[in-house]
Amino acid sequence: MNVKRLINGAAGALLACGLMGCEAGGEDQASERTLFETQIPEDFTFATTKGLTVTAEGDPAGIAQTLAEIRIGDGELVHRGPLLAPVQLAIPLSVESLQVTLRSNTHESVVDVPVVHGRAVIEMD
Amino acid sequence: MTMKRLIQTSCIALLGLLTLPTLALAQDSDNDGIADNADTFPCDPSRASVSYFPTATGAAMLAYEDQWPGDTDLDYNDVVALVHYRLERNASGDVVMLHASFDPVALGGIYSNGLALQLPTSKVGVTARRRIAGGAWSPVAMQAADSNVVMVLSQNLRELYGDLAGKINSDPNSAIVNGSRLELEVTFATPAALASNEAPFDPFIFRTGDFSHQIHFPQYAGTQAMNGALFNSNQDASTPSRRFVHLSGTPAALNLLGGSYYPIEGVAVSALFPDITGFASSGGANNQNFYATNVVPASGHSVASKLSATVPPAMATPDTACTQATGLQTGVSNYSDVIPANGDYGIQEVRFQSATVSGNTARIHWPLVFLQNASFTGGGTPTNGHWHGLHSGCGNVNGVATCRAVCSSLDATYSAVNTNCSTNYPTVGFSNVTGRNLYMTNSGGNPSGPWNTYTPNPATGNGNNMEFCECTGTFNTGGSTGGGTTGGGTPTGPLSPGVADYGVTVAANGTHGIQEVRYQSVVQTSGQTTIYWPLVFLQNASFTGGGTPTNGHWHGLHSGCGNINGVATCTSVCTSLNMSYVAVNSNCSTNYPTTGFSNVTGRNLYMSNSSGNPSGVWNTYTPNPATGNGNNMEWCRCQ
Repeated sequence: MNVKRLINGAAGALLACGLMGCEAGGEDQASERTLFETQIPEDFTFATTKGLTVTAEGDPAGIAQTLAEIRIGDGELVHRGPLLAPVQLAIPLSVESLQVTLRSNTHESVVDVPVVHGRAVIEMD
Repeated sequence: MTMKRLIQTSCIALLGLLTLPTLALAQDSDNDGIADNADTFPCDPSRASVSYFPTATGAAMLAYEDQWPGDTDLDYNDVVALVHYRLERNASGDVVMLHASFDPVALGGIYSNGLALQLPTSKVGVTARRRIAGGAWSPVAMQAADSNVVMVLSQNLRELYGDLAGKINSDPNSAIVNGSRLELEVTFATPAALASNEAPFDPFIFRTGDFSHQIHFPQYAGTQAMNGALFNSNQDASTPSRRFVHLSGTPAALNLLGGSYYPIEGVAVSALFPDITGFASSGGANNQNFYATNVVPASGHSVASKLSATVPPAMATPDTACTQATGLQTGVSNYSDVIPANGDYGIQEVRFQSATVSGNTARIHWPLVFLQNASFTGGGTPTNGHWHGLHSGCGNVNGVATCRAVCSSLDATYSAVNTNCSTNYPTVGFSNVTGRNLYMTNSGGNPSGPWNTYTPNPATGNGNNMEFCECTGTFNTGGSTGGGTTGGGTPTGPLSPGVADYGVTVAANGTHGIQEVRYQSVVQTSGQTTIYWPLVFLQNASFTGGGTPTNGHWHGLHSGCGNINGVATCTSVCTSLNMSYVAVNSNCSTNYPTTGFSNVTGRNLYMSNSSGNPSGVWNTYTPNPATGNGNNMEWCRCQ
């Protein structure tokens, strides 16, 4: 149990320092208050990921013969396989596009696919 | 976020990627509808793709405050763990297996806490197991009170630190302790449409000894066992849409994704990650990478130094040559037979120079092991994804431990290992051994977990190699018998809706000797699977009464017009497919439809009832399931 937290507000924190010593917490007290004093929107959950559905559109026979490798950020793999069915992924909030490598028996293509409103659509003609 | 991206069309046209001649010629070895070149698992009809959270080689840092609903010091180090998921999917995109790893980083709280995981899918047909530090797997039960998958992964996370008491890795003046990796494997007998965009799903902590005192991420409400009286008590300010939050609006759990630091004891998270305040005040619109920008390392601990393994477990290299697994049989194999193993100590498969199988004892001469997800120690840089030889130490404790690991991986128990200081491996057929010559050290009579290198090459040098390892158990002796003309053959698919006319072979788990199941047709509705006219391939089964039924054959089933024996028989079938009994036909049915009804060389059997459960012993009802009045099993329904 952190006794310091039971004493709220700046005056309480100063009193706590006086009673218990500030040790490594001297700096963090200010930061702690900073977060405590932040106006946090109602219902905000601090989620750091967002849901994504990746869909391929086109001839199903062609899609079933195409390997997709989906990467984010610095090329980190998040999915490998066909896209015959939509693929659901959870990705960091800041990711705005996917790097998708598509491979058939005879062709390979790398495309940058934007993420818009939780969806990324790859059209294969 | 770039405006260019926002106004760009989300559809990317890939003209000319595919050509009709390519479509016509593509090979699909496992007949799952996905061409081999597009199939991550080209030889496995139950799998086609793999997804990861957060990435294939990365892990997300989960951080909890365990005082909730009490006050918070916002240092989020009471439980800190890295989580990594791998989801293996079938051709339809449904999940057939979830593999999860949890690497403990810190236990900075006063309390002892357990770890559990809830998945947004029904628990019907779901089984799970866990292991610690690459050791033996043990089953994980589904929580009875919940309809969804809810699993307790650890009653007390201190078990990952050798039951160490006190605060762990939170005080910068205390010694660093490296915990052990906890792995979880969840198998979905009926592939699940798991909402994987919700990963990491609902991993939550609870007070050890009090499962009702749970602490979840704010999006979740707790399981059926949750003590709802904790909400809005003390310092909690939960609402129906946001729970487990302090009066200040700060959550009791944070997903710090790729963060490399976590707060030291008593230091608020905002001192380490100053940008979190901007993230919070903007409702997540700004500073979305707060855990990686403007970090103040002096206010935190490095994550990397607290880990016993720095990369998530790798997936076993999928078979791309479609090698047919065979059974363990007496005779010379020259390493050509591949015995599937259960993954204990990372052993995925076993090969051998020769074997002698007598009753329940198998002496495996010159065994080789294929390792994945194994851990290693010492020098020699052995790696996963290779076949390795084994060192038996002239029969010393390490040799015994090594053989124990082999036996465990074959669901058997150790019996003996060679005690002579042996020669090198025979090299006839000895190809593909790209690994080292390894041994397992002994820990209290059991294998310790990580592998050690004895010599670089099992075919050269004096490796005191494993001339034989002898195990006792119930072995799959299929081989050419089980996999050939009289047996079930290689499983060709999962239970799929539609008419199969006995042309699909489904792998079973061996319950009451049922190794495989075939069927005339299958209907799936509302999570229930009705198997019409099921056949079973038996090995290691027990029989009673007349009719001389035998193992190694396909048998029909008798449902007794729905009597207690018919129920018991259907229960055995469901259990063998990792499902639960629902119902069996109650009419006195006709004979089996015979379209495609070949290779049924066995009898028409039933399982007698014992106090409401299958007795475990098969009885013959009629000699032939295709003729005579067998009151046959028209259908068996499982879920």
